[in-house]
Amino acid sequence: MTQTETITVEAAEVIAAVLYGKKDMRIETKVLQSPGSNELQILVTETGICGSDLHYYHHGRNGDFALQHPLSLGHESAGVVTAVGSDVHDFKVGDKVALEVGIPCSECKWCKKGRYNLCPDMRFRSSCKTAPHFDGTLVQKVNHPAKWCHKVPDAVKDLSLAALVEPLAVSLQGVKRSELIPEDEATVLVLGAGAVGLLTAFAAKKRGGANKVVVADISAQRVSFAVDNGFADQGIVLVGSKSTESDNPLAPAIASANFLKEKAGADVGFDVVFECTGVQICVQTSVFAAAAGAKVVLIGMGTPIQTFAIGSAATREVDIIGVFRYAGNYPDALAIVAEDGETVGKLVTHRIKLQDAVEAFEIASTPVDKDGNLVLKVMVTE
Amino acid sequence: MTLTGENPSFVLQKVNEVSFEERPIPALSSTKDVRIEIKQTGICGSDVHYYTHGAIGSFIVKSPMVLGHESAGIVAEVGSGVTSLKVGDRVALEPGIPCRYCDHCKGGQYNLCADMKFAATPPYDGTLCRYYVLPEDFCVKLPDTVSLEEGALVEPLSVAVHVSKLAKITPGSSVIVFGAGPVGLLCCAVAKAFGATTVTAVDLVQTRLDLAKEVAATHCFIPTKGDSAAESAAKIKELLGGKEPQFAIDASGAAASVNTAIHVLGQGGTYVQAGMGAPEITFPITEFTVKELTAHGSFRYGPGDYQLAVELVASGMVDVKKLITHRVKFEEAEEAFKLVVKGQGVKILIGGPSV
Repeated sequence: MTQTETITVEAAEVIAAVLYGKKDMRIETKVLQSPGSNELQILVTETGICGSDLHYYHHGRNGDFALQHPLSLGHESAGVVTAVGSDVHDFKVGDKVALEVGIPCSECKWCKKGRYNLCPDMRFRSSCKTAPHFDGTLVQKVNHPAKWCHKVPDAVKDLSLAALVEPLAVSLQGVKRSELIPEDEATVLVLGAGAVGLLTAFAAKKRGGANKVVVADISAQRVSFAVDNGFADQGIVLVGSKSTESDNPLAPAIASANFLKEKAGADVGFDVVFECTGVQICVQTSVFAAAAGAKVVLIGMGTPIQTFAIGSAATREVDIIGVFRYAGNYPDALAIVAEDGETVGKLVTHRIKLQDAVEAFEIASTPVDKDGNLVLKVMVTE
Repeated sequence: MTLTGENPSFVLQKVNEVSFEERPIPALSSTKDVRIEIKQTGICGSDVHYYTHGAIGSFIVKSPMVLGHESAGIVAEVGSGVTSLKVGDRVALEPGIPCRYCDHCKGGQYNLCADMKFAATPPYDGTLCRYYVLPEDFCVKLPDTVSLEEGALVEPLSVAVHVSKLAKITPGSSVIVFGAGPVGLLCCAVAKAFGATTVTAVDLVQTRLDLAKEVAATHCFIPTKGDSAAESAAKIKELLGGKEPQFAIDASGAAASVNTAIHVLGQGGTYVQAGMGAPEITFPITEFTVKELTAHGSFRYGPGDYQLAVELVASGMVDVKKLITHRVKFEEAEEAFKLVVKGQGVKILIGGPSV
């Protein structure tokens, strides 16, 4: 083995965005050690902001998980290798990498079965699910296990595409769990045209081979974006129905589902419905919009306890499928952004520097910015 | 000879030449490792093949290698991070450590890991020694009711479990197994445990078939020399009252068996190749196509197989003791190899050095 130039890095100060509590994120410096023998040190060049980051920022919690001590958020990241641990031989300084920030135990039955996203000992950066929390990637540089870094194909020139691989991996997990195959020639409905909904619509076509992908949202701007930029074949704007003559609490959802089916020309319903909002009425609608024998894939995370159309699902054999993060999807997600970075890249609507992370979070919290432009994915850059 | 020393090991020096060596006691390489004192080791066809040929396919013995991989023992030391085992626990050893991080490992097929470190597959030493180190998650604790001898049979039983899971054997089905050596016998037993109600064993040797019947087979068949595969298949079908099996497993590696299996399977059936024989054979591909058969290769074992194997033994659903025909002391290990080379016995167990 040839002796490669060993660059020793000492502990250094790095800039980090740290959340102290609700709406209290501070830009600080902290000390970063040299990477461990199995780690890479990465200059984080791009971090996308996710809904879960926003929940922690606005509420100091995400559902049941509460912030217990100061924590850097961010988990949708890519960057450039600046140092290599002594036992790592398949990366070098300068390599571009996408970070897979969930580190499972690799030993339990879930890990061995290939469903490591369900590992009970998973440590996921920026999540408050376990304590002490594992810092996220809204930091100038991080040390991360090399085994959970993925080399970015040369064809991908823009690292924001590599950062989008994280939410794309979630979409691919949804498509994988839906068992969609091109032979199905499926008509697919995606509820929610945010970043995850758009990526799911894209993945349903690219990897699920869906014949027709319909995206629905309450925002006409998002729906137009989806169709104009090649994420979906058809867009439908859903109008929230407030009044109903029926006593049935599910009547508004039934009405929405009928509206969607009619507009899409899917009389018997959709073959797969990807629910990408987490909003109760949408989850209800997804069951009614699904055809008999179809699948509803729950990607969106919203209210944890909801009123649900269980009768309609059960008696029509509509399967409800949960999706949590991803397992084994990063390589394919990287291949997709290498194939069609142009479409995926359109999701990046705002780029803000790390020092201005608070502003980035404020922008990401609104559907349109102060100039009326659509907010889809805000990238925090170095 | 008397063996003294701390870690006597049975080493293949080169083809047909084995000897005992004193090897260093292996150290724990991580906090999650355990060191096991080996008590029983069964020998497998592969061990014997390395003994007689020095290679299997591209795996070539280039330097002396400790043989053996079908072992059970007692935990002698645990790393500081071990939570599931303690000193004194009796365990079956799953003797292959995958890398855990490649796409195969992350994808749930660690048996296909390109960097698998498997005991007694060159260049990695095997378990015919006093002490062996494994991560705790590659040891399965044996219930009190399961002996260390049975524990040594868990390895080939796990192969049979892996085969049967790949085949997706269903209750009420008819399964045919070609080859009634240890793996074939255990495939019959697992097929029955998985609910097959017709289990047909095929072999050339009557005594092996007698054991198959004792173990799990409902029907036995010896092909007539000179019959074609189609002719043998027709006779088997007649034996089974005109009903073709839905599942066929080859545990012989013999081309004639593979061919007969394809001919005897019913339409839409499933074929699993477990046996390893000639690397290339003539195959009835048209028969395979028009009957829409599905063929699976099967290699070692994967997630959950070892645990299920121990459960099958512990629950009494599979009686592995019937396969043990000879027991030798560690010092007599070479005798065991010579017995297998002569084609004698079914499963021969070699005791650990402390026994």
